[in-house]
Amino acid sequence: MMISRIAVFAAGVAAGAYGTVKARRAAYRLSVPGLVDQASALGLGWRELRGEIADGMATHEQTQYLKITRKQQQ
Amino acid sequence: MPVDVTILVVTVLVAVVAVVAAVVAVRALREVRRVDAERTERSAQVVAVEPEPVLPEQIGPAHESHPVQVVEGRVVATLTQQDLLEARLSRPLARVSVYVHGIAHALRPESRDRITALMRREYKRRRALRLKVARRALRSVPHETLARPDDWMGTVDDTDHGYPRAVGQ
Repeated sequence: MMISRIAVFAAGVAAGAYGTVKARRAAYRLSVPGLVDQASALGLGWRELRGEIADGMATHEQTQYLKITRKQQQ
Repeated sequence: MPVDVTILVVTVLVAVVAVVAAVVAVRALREVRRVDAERTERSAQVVAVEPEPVLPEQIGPAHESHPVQVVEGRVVATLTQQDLLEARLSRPLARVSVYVHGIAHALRPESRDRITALMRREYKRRRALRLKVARRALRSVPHETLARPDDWMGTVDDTDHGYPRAVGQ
């Protein structure tokens, strides 16, 4: 009986702590500083994506270049 | 001169003018058709005399010292191997292919995960920094400014602590 009460109490504390942390994070995400941070992270992601696309294009161009050169030499 | 004779003469004159005008119009139409036919024939001849395509094998190292030559009054540019390659790679289909490969490269699982992790890390870093600055600002305020008086129960606190006040207070 006592043990089950303690278990229920511990579960309640854990759920409360978890819910509080999640709620605080969600509130921060929806606040103005949170939105600014998300926009900044999005900008960083966009820059990285553009860099990756440029890398892929350069690699493919180089491959095509070598392929055409090899075909002409044959 | 009676009226009916006058009308007859006028009618004859109008008929003569109409016949002359019709003849002139028919002649002009024939002339226009002839000119059009000649023009079409000339343009067909121009299309028929299309220059032979320049093959990469015909361009040797002997021409590389003279990239632009004048042959029979016409400027002929000698294409190098590099020029041909660039022209081939700058075709619209080749450009689209290059773009598609670039996007596919960027959307590979490893690139995608890396970018997502980078974004998440940046967001957490900025949030931690902001919270840290806020905590530091809170710590820089003297404790007495924020402490509430102990005798709040049953008393009216009319001391001015110098708090910033909202509008209307």
